[in-house]
Amino acid sequence: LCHSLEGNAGALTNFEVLDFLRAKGASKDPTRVIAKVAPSEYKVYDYLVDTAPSVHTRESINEFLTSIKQHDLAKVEVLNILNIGPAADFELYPVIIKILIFQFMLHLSI
Amino acid sequence: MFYLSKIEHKLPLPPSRFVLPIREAIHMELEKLFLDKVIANLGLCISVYDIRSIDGGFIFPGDGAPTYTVVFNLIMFRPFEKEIITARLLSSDADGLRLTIGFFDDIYIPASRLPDPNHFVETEQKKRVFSGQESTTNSSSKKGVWYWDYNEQEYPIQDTDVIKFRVTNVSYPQIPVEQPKESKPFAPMLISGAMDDDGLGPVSWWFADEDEDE
Repeated sequence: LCHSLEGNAGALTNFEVLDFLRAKGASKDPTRVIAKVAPSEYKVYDYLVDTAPSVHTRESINEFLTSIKQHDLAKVEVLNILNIGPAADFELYPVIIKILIFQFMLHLSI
Repeated sequence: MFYLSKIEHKLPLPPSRFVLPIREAIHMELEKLFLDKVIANLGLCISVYDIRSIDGGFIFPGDGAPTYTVVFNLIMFRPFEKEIITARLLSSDADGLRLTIGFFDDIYIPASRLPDPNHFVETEQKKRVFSGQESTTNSSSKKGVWYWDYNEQEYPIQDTDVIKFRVTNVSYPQIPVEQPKESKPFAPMLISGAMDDDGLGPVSWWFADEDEDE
Protein backbone atom coordinates (compact mmCIF):
# COMPACT_ATOMS: atom_id res chain seq x y z
CA LEU A 1 0.00 0.00 0.00
CA CYS A 2 2.70 2.45 0.96
CA HIS A 3 6.25 2.78 -0.27
CA SER A 4 8.96 5.39 -0.01
CA LEU A 5 9.98 7.02 -3.29
CA GLU A 6 12.68 9.14 -1.67
CA GLY A 7 13.48 8.68 2.02
CA ASN A 8 15.61 11.79 2.10
CA ALA A 9 14.03 14.39 -0.17
CA GLY A 10 15.89 17.16 1.65
CA ALA A 11 16.78 18.28 5.15
CA LEU A 12 14.74 20.95 6.90
CA THR A 13 16.08 23.34 9.51
CA ASN A 14 14.20 23.74 12.79
CA PHE A 15 13.27 27.24 11.63
CA GLU A 16 11.61 25.89 8.47
CA VAL A 17 9.55 23.37 10.46
CA LEU A 18 8.56 26.06 12.96
CA ASP A 19 7.65 28.41 10.10
CA PHE A 20 5.55 25.65 8.50
CA LEU A 21 3.66 25.01 11.76
CA ARG A 22 3.09 28.74 12.27
CA ALA A 23 1.71 29.00 8.74
CA LYS A 24 -0.65 26.15 9.63
CA GLY A 25 -1.97 28.17 12.56
CA ALA A 26 0.12 27.02 15.51
CA SER A 27 0.72 29.68 18.14
CA LYS A 28 1.07 30.20 21.88
CA ASP A 29 -2.59 31.24 21.94
CA PRO A 30 -4.46 29.22 24.63
CA THR A 31 -7.48 28.62 22.35
CA ARG A 32 -5.70 25.88 20.44
CA VAL A 33 -8.82 24.06 19.31
CA ILE A 34 -9.54 26.65 16.61
CA ALA A 35 -6.42 26.04 14.49
CA LYS A 36 -6.18 23.05 12.14
CA VAL A 37 -3.15 21.76 14.00
CA ALA A 38 -2.96 18.27 15.48
CA PRO A 39 -1.98 17.79 19.16
CA SER A 40 1.21 15.99 18.07
CA GLU A 41 2.11 18.96 15.85
CA TYR A 42 1.58 21.29 18.81
CA LYS A 43 4.08 19.22 20.82
CA VAL A 44 6.67 19.82 18.10
CA TYR A 45 5.74 23.51 18.01
CA ASP A 46 6.08 23.79 21.81
CA TYR A 47 9.56 22.26 21.61
CA LEU A 48 10.76 24.41 18.71
CA VAL A 49 9.35 27.68 20.03
CA ASP A 50 11.66 27.38 23.06
CA THR A 51 14.78 26.92 20.93
CA ALA A 52 17.05 29.39 19.12
CA PRO A 53 15.28 29.15 15.69
CA SER A 54 12.18 30.82 17.17
CA VAL A 55 13.96 34.19 16.95
CA HIS A 56 15.45 33.60 13.49
CA THR A 57 14.15 35.21 10.32
CA ARG A 58 14.67 34.21 6.69
CA GLU A 59 16.89 37.27 6.27
CA SER A 60 19.09 36.41 9.26
CA ILE A 61 19.47 32.82 8.04
CA ASN A 62 20.42 33.93 4.51
CA GLU A 63 22.90 36.39 5.99
CA PHE A 64 24.40 33.62 8.13
CA LEU A 65 24.65 31.21 5.18
CA THR A 66 26.46 33.85 3.13
CA SER A 67 28.95 34.68 5.87
CA ILE A 68 29.64 31.03 6.80
CA LYS A 69 30.71 30.09 3.24
CA GLN A 70 34.27 31.32 3.84
CA HIS A 71 34.76 28.79 6.67
CA ASP A 72 34.30 25.74 4.42
CA LEU A 73 32.09 23.77 6.82
CA ALA A 74 30.20 20.57 6.02
CA LYS A 75 26.45 20.89 5.36
CA VAL A 76 25.62 18.94 8.52
CA GLU A 77 27.77 21.31 10.59
CA VAL A 78 25.99 24.36 9.14
CA LEU A 79 22.60 22.70 9.76
CA ASN A 80 23.63 21.89 13.33
CA ILE A 81 24.77 25.47 14.01
CA LEU A 82 21.50 26.85 12.61
CA ASN A 83 19.45 24.50 14.79
CA ILE A 84 21.24 25.06 18.10
CA GLY A 85 21.98 28.77 17.59
CA PRO A 86 25.14 28.85 19.72
CA ALA A 87 25.31 31.78 22.14
CA ALA A 88 28.84 31.06 23.39
CA ASP A 89 32.01 29.56 21.89
CA PHE A 90 31.87 26.37 24.00
CA GLU A 91 28.58 25.49 22.30
CA LEU A 92 30.47 25.12 19.03
CA TYR A 93 32.97 22.54 20.36
CA PRO A 94 30.75 19.48 19.95
CA VAL A 95 29.55 20.67 16.53
CA ILE A 96 32.71 21.53 14.63
CA ILE A 97 35.47 18.95 14.75
CA LYS A 98 37.78 21.35 12.88
CA ILE A 99 37.94 23.65 15.94
CA LEU A 100 39.30 20.83 18.09
CA ILE A 101 41.80 19.75 15.42
CA PHE A 102 42.97 23.36 15.00
CA GLN A 103 43.39 23.77 18.76
CA PHE A 104 45.32 20.49 18.95
CA MET A 105 47.63 21.53 16.09
CA LEU A 106 48.15 24.90 17.75
CA HIS A 107 49.00 23.14 21.02
CA LEU A 108 51.55 20.95 19.20
CA SER A 109 53.19 23.93 17.52
CA ILE A 110 53.57 25.69 20.88
CA MET B 1 16.73 16.70 12.79
CA PHE B 2 13.86 17.00 10.31
CA TYR B 3 13.69 15.64 6.78
CA LEU B 4 11.23 15.55 3.94
CA SER B 5 10.32 12.06 2.76
CA LYS B 6 8.54 11.52 -0.54
CA ILE B 7 6.00 8.70 -0.28
CA GLU B 8 3.52 7.00 -2.59
CA HIS B 9 0.42 5.50 -1.03
CA LYS B 10 -2.74 3.78 -2.26
CA LEU B 11 -5.42 5.49 -0.22
CA PRO B 12 -9.08 4.43 0.05
CA LEU B 13 -11.14 7.57 0.69
CA PRO B 14 -14.17 6.91 2.93
CA PRO B 15 -17.52 8.31 1.67
CA SER B 16 -17.81 10.50 4.79
CA ARG B 17 -15.04 12.68 3.29
CA PHE B 18 -16.87 13.31 -0.01
CA VAL B 19 -18.35 16.60 1.21
CA LEU B 20 -14.85 18.13 1.25
CA PRO B 21 -12.73 19.18 -1.74
CA ILE B 22 -10.69 16.16 -2.88
CA ARG B 23 -7.30 17.62 -1.93
CA GLU B 24 -8.45 18.60 1.56
CA ALA B 25 -10.16 15.24 2.11
CA ILE B 26 -7.02 13.33 1.12
CA HIS B 27 -4.85 15.61 3.27
CA MET B 28 -7.03 14.88 6.31
CA GLU B 29 -6.98 11.15 5.61
CA LEU B 30 -3.19 11.17 5.28
CA GLU B 31 -2.86 13.03 8.58
CA LYS B 32 -5.09 10.44 10.25
CA LEU B 33 -2.92 7.65 8.84
CA PHE B 34 0.62 8.95 9.30
CA LEU B 35 0.73 11.69 11.94
CA ASP B 36 2.69 10.79 15.09
CA LYS B 37 3.55 7.35 13.68
CA VAL B 38 7.00 5.86 13.16
CA ILE B 39 7.88 4.57 9.70
CA ALA B 40 10.83 2.18 9.87
CA ASN B 41 14.08 3.73 8.59
CA LEU B 42 12.34 7.04 7.87
CA GLY B 43 11.56 8.25 11.38
CA LEU B 44 8.65 9.78 13.26
CA CYS B 45 6.06 11.55 11.11
CA ILE B 46 5.56 15.14 12.23
CA SER B 47 3.28 16.52 9.53
CA VAL B 48 2.05 16.20 5.95
CA TYR B 49 4.12 18.81 4.11
CA ASP B 50 2.40 18.78 0.72
CA ILE B 51 0.61 16.58 -1.81
CA ARG B 52 2.48 16.19 -5.10
CA SER B 53 -0.05 14.22 -7.13
CA ILE B 54 -3.41 12.46 -6.90
CA ASP B 55 -4.27 9.71 -9.39
CA GLY B 56 -6.99 7.11 -9.78
CA GLY B 57 -10.18 7.30 -7.80
CA PHE B 58 -11.36 3.88 -8.97
CA ILE B 59 -13.89 1.89 -6.98
CA PHE B 60 -12.73 -1.70 -6.95
CA PRO B 61 -15.30 -4.55 -6.88
CA GLY B 62 -16.60 -5.19 -3.39
CA ASP B 63 -15.09 -1.94 -2.12
CA GLY B 64 -17.18 0.87 -0.68
CA ALA B 65 -14.68 3.64 -1.34
CA PRO B 66 -12.64 5.05 -4.23
CA THR B 67 -8.91 4.30 -4.08
CA TYR B 68 -6.46 7.04 -4.99
CA THR B 69 -2.72 6.78 -5.62
CA VAL B 70 -1.23 9.73 -3.79
CA VAL B 71 2.35 11.01 -3.91
CA PHE B 72 3.13 13.35 -1.02
CA ASN B 73 5.89 14.68 1.23
CA LEU B 74 6.00 14.06 4.96
CA ILE B 75 8.05 15.96 7.53
CA MET B 76 9.95 13.28 9.41
CA PHE B 77 11.86 13.54 12.67
CA ARG B 78 15.05 11.58 12.08
CA PRO B 79 18.17 12.95 13.77
CA PHE B 80 21.45 12.37 11.98
CA GLU B 81 24.50 10.88 13.65
CA LYS B 82 26.61 13.44 15.57
CA GLU B 83 23.71 15.93 15.67
CA ILE B 84 23.48 18.05 18.83
CA ILE B 85 19.99 18.21 20.33
CA THR B 86 18.62 19.92 23.43
CA ALA B 87 16.33 17.84 25.64
CA ARG B 88 15.07 17.48 29.19
CA LEU B 89 15.58 14.70 31.69
CA LEU B 90 12.71 12.22 31.91
CA SER B 91 14.26 9.67 34.25
CA SER B 92 17.62 8.69 35.64
CA ASP B 93 18.76 5.27 36.82
CA ALA B 94 21.94 3.23 37.22
CA ASP B 95 21.89 2.31 33.51
CA GLY B 96 21.97 5.95 32.42
CA LEU B 97 19.53 8.70 31.47
CA ARG B 98 16.28 8.82 29.58
CA LEU B 99 15.56 12.16 27.90
CA THR B 100 12.55 13.77 26.26
CA ILE B 101 12.06 16.49 23.68
CA GLY B 102 8.32 16.74 24.31
CA PHE B 103 7.14 14.97 21.18
CA PHE B 104 9.61 12.06 21.46
CA ASP B 105 10.56 10.27 24.67
CA ASP B 106 12.74 7.32 23.67
CA ILE B 107 16.16 8.94 23.97
CA TYR B 108 18.71 7.04 26.03
CA ILE B 109 22.16 8.06 27.24
CA PRO B 110 24.00 4.98 28.58
CA ALA B 111 26.07 5.41 31.74
CA SER B 112 29.23 4.74 29.72
CA ARG B 113 28.59 7.86 27.61
CA LEU B 114 28.13 10.28 30.52
CA PRO B 115 30.87 12.81 31.38
CA ASP B 116 33.75 11.06 33.13
CA PRO B 117 34.55 10.79 36.05
CA ASN B 118 31.05 10.44 37.43
CA HIS B 119 29.06 8.80 40.18
CA PHE B 120 25.46 7.82 40.75
CA VAL B 121 23.48 8.43 43.94
CA GLU B 122 20.43 6.23 44.42
CA THR B 123 17.45 8.16 45.75
CA GLU B 124 15.87 5.24 47.66
CA GLN B 125 18.87 4.21 49.73
CA LYS B 126 20.99 7.36 49.19
CA LYS B 127 23.80 5.02 48.29
CA ARG B 128 26.77 6.12 46.17
CA VAL B 129 27.76 4.02 43.20
CA PHE B 130 30.89 5.13 41.34
CA SER B 131 31.34 4.50 37.63
CA GLY B 132 32.68 1.03 36.96
CA GLN B 133 31.36 -0.21 40.31
CA GLU B 134 28.36 -2.55 40.37
CA SER B 135 25.44 -2.06 42.73
CA THR B 136 23.83 -5.08 44.40
CA THR B 137 20.19 -4.06 44.00
CA ASN B 138 18.06 -4.82 40.96
CA SER B 139 18.89 -2.46 38.08
CA SER B 140 15.29 -1.56 37.22
CA SER B 141 14.57 -0.14 40.69
CA LYS B 142 17.70 1.98 40.99
CA LYS B 143 16.40 5.48 40.40
CA GLY B 144 18.69 8.31 41.34
CA VAL B 145 20.87 11.22 40.27
CA TRP B 146 24.05 11.20 38.19
CA TYR B 147 26.88 13.57 39.11
CA TRP B 148 29.87 14.68 37.09
CA ASP B 149 32.95 15.01 39.30
CA TYR B 150 35.09 17.89 38.08
CA ASN B 151 37.64 20.06 39.95
CA GLU B 152 36.57 18.52 43.27
CA GLN B 153 33.02 19.67 42.62
CA GLU B 154 29.86 17.69 41.93
CA TYR B 155 27.68 18.74 39.01
CA PRO B 156 24.25 17.05 39.12
CA ILE B 157 22.10 16.12 36.14
CA GLN B 158 18.60 17.15 37.23
CA ASP B 159 15.18 17.21 35.60
CA THR B 160 15.06 21.02 35.73
CA ASP B 161 18.02 21.27 33.36
CA VAL B 162 18.07 21.73 29.61
CA ILE B 163 20.47 19.03 28.44
CA LYS B 164 22.54 18.94 25.28
CA PHE B 165 23.53 15.57 23.87
CA ARG B 166 25.07 14.17 20.71
CA VAL B 167 23.14 11.56 18.71
CA THR B 168 25.20 8.38 18.35
CA ASN B 169 22.62 6.03 16.87
CA VAL B 170 19.01 5.88 15.66
CA SER B 171 17.53 2.38 15.55
CA TYR B 172 14.20 0.85 14.58
CA PRO B 173 13.71 -2.36 16.59
CA GLN B 174 11.72 -5.26 15.13
CA ILE B 175 8.14 -5.45 16.40
CA PRO B 176 8.12 -8.30 18.93
CA VAL B 177 5.75 -11.21 18.29
CA GLU B 178 5.19 -11.62 22.02
CA GLN B 179 6.10 -9.32 24.88
CA PRO B 180 6.73 -10.37 28.48
CA LYS B 181 4.12 -9.02 30.90
CA GLU B 182 6.55 -6.94 32.96
CA SER B 183 8.41 -5.41 30.01
CA LYS B 184 8.19 -1.71 29.18
CA PRO B 185 6.06 -0.63 26.18
CA PHE B 186 7.58 -1.33 22.77
CA ALA B 187 9.31 1.67 21.19
CA PRO B 188 9.42 1.56 17.36
CA MET B 189 12.27 4.10 17.26
CA LEU B 190 15.16 4.50 19.69
CA ILE B 191 17.76 7.25 19.86
CA SER B 192 21.05 6.62 21.64
CA GLY B 193 23.14 9.59 22.64
CA ALA B 194 26.33 10.69 24.34
CA MET B 195 27.26 13.50 26.72
CA ASP B 196 30.98 12.79 27.07
CA ASP B 197 32.33 15.90 25.38
CA ASP B 198 32.95 19.60 26.07
CA GLY B 199 29.82 21.70 25.73
CA LEU B 200 27.49 18.73 26.24
CA GLY B 201 25.35 17.93 29.28
CA PRO B 202 23.19 20.37 31.24
CA VAL B 203 23.56 23.85 29.76
CA SER B 204 23.70 25.35 33.28
CA TRP B 205 27.08 23.64 33.90
CA TRP B 206 28.75 25.49 31.08
CA PHE B 207 27.19 28.89 31.59
CA ALA B 208 28.03 28.69 35.30
CA ASP B 209 31.60 27.87 34.30
CA GLU B 210 31.71 30.88 31.94
CA ASP B 211 30.50 33.19 34.73
CA GLU B 212 33.22 31.90 37.06
CA ASP B 213 35.88 32.54 34.40
CA GLU B 214 34.79 36.15 34.10
